[in-house]
Amino acid sequence: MYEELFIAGSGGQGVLTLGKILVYSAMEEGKFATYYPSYGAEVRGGTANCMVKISDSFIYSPVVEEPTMVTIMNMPSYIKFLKKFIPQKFLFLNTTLIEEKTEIIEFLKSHAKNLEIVRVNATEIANKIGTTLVSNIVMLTTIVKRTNVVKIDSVRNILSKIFSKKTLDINLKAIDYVMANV
Amino acid sequence: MKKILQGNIALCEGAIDGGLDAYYAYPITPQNEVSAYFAEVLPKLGKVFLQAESELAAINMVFGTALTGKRAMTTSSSPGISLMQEGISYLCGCELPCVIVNVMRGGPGLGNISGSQQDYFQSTRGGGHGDYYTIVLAPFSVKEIYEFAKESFLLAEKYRNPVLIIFDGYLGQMMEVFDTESDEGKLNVKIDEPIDKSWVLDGTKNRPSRKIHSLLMAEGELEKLNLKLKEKYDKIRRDEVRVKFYNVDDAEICIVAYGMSARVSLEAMNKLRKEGLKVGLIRPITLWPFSYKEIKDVTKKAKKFLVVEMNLGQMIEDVKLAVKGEAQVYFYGRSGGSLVSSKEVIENIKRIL
Amino acid sequence: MTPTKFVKPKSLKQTHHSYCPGCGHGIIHRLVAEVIDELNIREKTIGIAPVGCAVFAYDYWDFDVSEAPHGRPPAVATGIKRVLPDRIVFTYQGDGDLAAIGTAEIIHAANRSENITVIFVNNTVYGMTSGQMAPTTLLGQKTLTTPYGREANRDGYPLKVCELLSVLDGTKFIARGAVTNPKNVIQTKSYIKKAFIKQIENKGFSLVEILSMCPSGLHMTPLEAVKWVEEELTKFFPLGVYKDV
Repeated sequence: MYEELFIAGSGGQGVLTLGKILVYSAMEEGKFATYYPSYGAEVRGGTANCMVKISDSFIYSPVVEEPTMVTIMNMPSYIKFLKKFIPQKFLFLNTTLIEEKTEIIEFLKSHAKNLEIVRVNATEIANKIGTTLVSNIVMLTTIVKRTNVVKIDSVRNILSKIFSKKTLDINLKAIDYVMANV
Repeated sequence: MKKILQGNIALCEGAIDGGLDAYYAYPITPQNEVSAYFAEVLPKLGKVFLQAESELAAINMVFGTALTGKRAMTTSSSPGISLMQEGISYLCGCELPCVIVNVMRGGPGLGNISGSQQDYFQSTRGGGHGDYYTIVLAPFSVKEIYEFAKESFLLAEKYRNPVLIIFDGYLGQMMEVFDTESDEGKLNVKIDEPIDKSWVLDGTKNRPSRKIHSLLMAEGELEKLNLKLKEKYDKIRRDEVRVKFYNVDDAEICIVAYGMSARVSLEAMNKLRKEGLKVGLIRPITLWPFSYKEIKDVTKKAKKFLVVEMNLGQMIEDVKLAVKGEAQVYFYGRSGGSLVSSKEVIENIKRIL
Repeated sequence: MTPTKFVKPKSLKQTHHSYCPGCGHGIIHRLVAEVIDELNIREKTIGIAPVGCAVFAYDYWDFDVSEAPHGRPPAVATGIKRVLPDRIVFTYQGDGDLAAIGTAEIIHAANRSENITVIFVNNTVYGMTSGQMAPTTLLGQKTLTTPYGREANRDGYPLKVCELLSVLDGTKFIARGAVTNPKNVIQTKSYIKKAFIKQIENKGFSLVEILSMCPSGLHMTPLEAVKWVEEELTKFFPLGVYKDV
């Protein structure tokens, strides 16, 4: 297996954490994985994006050029990145903060006919669960559920290693909710 | 055992596992994770951590610790390394072992905080004043960063010379899964004779006094030192060249690249091989001493070389020297902190073939 | 009496800053701009920006500004003032720029009594690079490189720049202000004005140190940062005029 993911959002949305959880999970499953983060110039509130590659064999370049999956968490990222990072298989959109544009959808479909667009009201769902801070986990669970890029139990495992009890509880709750309802 | 680390952190762990005694540095992006890590961990291990007031001070603190025979390291990024050039000249003139790490960013001047390979000349051509060289190691993965950091102190002590580890900011920032038990990336520094510590300054108890200096005013003395250094550098050139070959045996065109450029180029090579194109890759691991002979040997088969760098043409000069006109040398590069892309490498190769 | 309009100073560009919420740089940039406007020196002012968060100051001020290598603004300022003595030359430096890597440059520019003005922003951390210890970090203060608190015997003592430079015969006006409340802000502006007037009158070296907030580097909310600077920092770095000769 070989997946290239490009994940983008605003600073503070947990985009980089999302990427890190993916690579830690991949490692748990004995896979190779690389993670490369990028920050906007501003320390706070700027854009944040990361490139993740997961593979069964050694990954040569950690640089994502032709992603198999793209995840967009906010509107500025939707406008900025989809011309450069064209998803080949899946596009995950946080519909709470994104107003889709027909010309962008058409552009993407012209480059990848079998593109599947998965729309998730991530920020809204996270709010319902208890806090918008888990919108990244809501999105992550959706990605895992739909693509099996890693196993959801690996994600649960990793979260229990990196989060304190209080944070862990709300995040696991988010995973359970999405697995059952979305 | 699988482990995942960020490049800059792998550097820290490697240095600690390699016997680091003291770390001195000044903050500069993109390597601030190093001092944050050491600030927390080194005091717990009873080792020295000190944030110096500048890179100028930092390299001189390294000089001080090196005089005592203990293992000192400093890290910085391009503009800070420029400030250290005076100190590096002194370290080489006084034959002091130490480890210096440059996490390269875009330049010249203040530049930007993105990764680059724009300091190849600064690293391999001396950088400071005088006839001297530092051993230059160029890791291309998190595992290599760890292993090079770990063995660099021994390498420095073997030759009583600074060792410079350089990698671009991308490698420093990225995280990668690697196997802690594999032999990948090990330098396997050979120690044939016990390391000479007879020059160390730590007090004259039970021994005659010693001095360390690079100022040699008496007639002929400085030339003597320079010839001694030359002998040392010639030995390093004979014994310490490291370079890795990928698919060169039947290659019609060879890419020459190191660090992140090599990672990206390997992906391009892979894709081109799947299309049936005979592409190989040469990855210098020691940038000094450079693999002139090893690259020349490849010209028996491959007559075209594409040098890929994140600068506008530095290592290409060494590749041209290596091939001595036996092959055509082309160039593809990006500058100012921009990444090379496998797509552009592929386009370049197809255009050349 | 018709109220005066609150307008943007001419010396400040109509752009948005990228400073963090609660950062003191925004206030201080404006004070400098207002003083330059009020003294009518905009067209002959040349500023030098530091390396640090204010590295982009040349995007916010509307007069000639240059960058300088980290710590070197006083030397660069010297290079300008010596050949263009009728221009108003000032540097704007943070605690790393002035008191760490630039200690030699500031001491010697001050010692030569270079006829320049130095605006020294002291917020006790290295904001741009994520919050490392600065020369002015207080004992016990936790930063990225003093995770257990600054210790005198390992990291030295906080540097008191105003006090240090006042000893030099070459310094002619030294003052320390803060930007934590309206009273302080007005007081600090008057110090900045006095410093520039010193230069206009060719009296020699002037420096204004300004205690400022870096909520990001200090890991505080903007309000917490203001409170901390006003209550804790001023205890160690007293405000006032240190020298006026």
